[in-house]
Amino acid sequence: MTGFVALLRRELWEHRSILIVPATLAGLILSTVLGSAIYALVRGYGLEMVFDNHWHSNPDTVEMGRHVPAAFIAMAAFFGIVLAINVTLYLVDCLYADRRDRSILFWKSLPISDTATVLSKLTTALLVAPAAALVAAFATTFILAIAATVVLWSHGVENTSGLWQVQPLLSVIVGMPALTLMIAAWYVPVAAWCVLASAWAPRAPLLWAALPPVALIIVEQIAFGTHRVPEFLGDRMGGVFPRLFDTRHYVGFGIRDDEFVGTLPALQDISSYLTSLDLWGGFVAAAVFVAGAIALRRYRDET
Amino acid sequence: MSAVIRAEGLSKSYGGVRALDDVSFTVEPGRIVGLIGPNGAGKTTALKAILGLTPYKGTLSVMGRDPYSDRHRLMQDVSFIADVATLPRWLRVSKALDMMTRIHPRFDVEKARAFLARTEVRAGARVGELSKGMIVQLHLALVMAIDARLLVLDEPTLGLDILYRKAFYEALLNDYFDEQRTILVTTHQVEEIEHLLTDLMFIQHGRLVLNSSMDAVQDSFVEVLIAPERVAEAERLQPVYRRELFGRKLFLFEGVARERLATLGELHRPSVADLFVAKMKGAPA
Repeated sequence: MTGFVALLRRELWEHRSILIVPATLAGLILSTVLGSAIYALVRGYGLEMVFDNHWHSNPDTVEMGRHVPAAFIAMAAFFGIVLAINVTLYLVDCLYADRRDRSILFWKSLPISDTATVLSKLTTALLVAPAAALVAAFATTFILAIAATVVLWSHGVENTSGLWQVQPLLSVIVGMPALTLMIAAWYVPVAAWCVLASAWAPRAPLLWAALPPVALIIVEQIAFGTHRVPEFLGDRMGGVFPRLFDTRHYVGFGIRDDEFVGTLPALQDISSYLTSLDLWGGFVAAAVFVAGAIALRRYRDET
Repeated sequence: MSAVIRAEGLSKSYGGVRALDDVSFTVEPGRIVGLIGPNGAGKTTALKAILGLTPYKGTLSVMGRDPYSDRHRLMQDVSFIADVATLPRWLRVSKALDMMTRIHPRFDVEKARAFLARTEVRAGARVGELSKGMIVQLHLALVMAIDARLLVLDEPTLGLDILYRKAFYEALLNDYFDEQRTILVTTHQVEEIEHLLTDLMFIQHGRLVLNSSMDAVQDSFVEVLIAPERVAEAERLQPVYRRELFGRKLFLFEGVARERLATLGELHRPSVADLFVAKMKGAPA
């Protein structure tokens, strides 16, 4: 187990972007927003410059507080988009990088199984990197909420406790990690496919990951004139969101029927998602891809 | 004690080329074995088979394990430097030590630190910032701090200058080797290591053409600087190799009594390099 943790640390040392990208993103957002807020304060602009008219004329912090979770979620979604790109690049590189610089010979001189090596990469992509992005998103929103509190104070709004209601905050802090896990579960086969490409590719692993699906789409189009493959792949790329969220009412982060709701976006029946054939079929496909990646890592003569 | 490596009928082909052709040998504990052969003779293939990095035909047992199916467990008892510069360039020295401590149950970080203290390798440096010689020193520090029974070195000093090469083998011999350990090494710079070898294996076209202890080699191989009037007589004793030096004939004999040879001229101890050339040219291609 300590060995596996050491392997995870190794991934963060080698692929520093897993931590640096969310940290940089947080830094950019905070410096932009706080910078303009401080600028506004220094120049003596009123609340209308910081909040829109509706809020500035009637700073109801209790109602405002119900929006804090939505802000958390919007921020997490933004970090999530960046995370998806970052993790994809990491995954296609993770097993290829060792082969490119021949350091695979060093790693193979250590008493680590190839299974543990491959699983450490998937764990990094599906658990460690999302956790880092989530923490960064939370920290960013949290600091912004503190800043908002300070701004309100500076404008004589004394009762800001509405911004910090326990129940909605708690629902986000507990709910978001669970939601992240459920979303990550959907992408397990995609991640496993990338790892397989990384283990296989003689060079340009990103291309090797992308070409087979593209080729399938083209072949299907030419041979049958149908679009089953792109539909299937499209569903795998984005299908987790309609499965998790009630999109009939849900039109934005924290908004339902044009009204703000101060909790997580309306969730579908989660148990039907968690027991769905789509999710578990994905796990089966992932197991096949991972087994292939482990076998390649283990049995292919790399030198 | 049982053999550290036992190979029987080891074979391996790449395409149509036989890299290893029915090779059998054993390596006993406490030996330093030099595996010498020309490029493409099968040295690296043999080492890769021993390290579980490549599949093979025949039977091979390393520390009682099948290296191919049991590589990651075998690596607790076996360490290797497969090549210069296989350490990942992004790795920092301090983190390499930290990682080895966590991953390798037999890694003694103090030993590695003590060795590195004698070098110019700084703890904060990345591998990519180190010179080739320093990278090898770091790798050696990591490997020597592992309490392994078998150390395999494949051209560990290739491309290093003479100072680093000397220091490498001195450290290996003085700070690492003892009767419990076994070292298997391949190198082209055979003259630099011949004094530390206890056993010699020559490999050519995937076959072992010599497999003997150094003592036995020195008993059975004698080089004679033939007196001019004795050349015809010497020829009748069927030297395994002939060469000329300053117009005089130097014959290499195998398995001919020293007393008999002493009558032909001046006796010399052949260097491993001379033996190697003799064996490579003499052996059927």
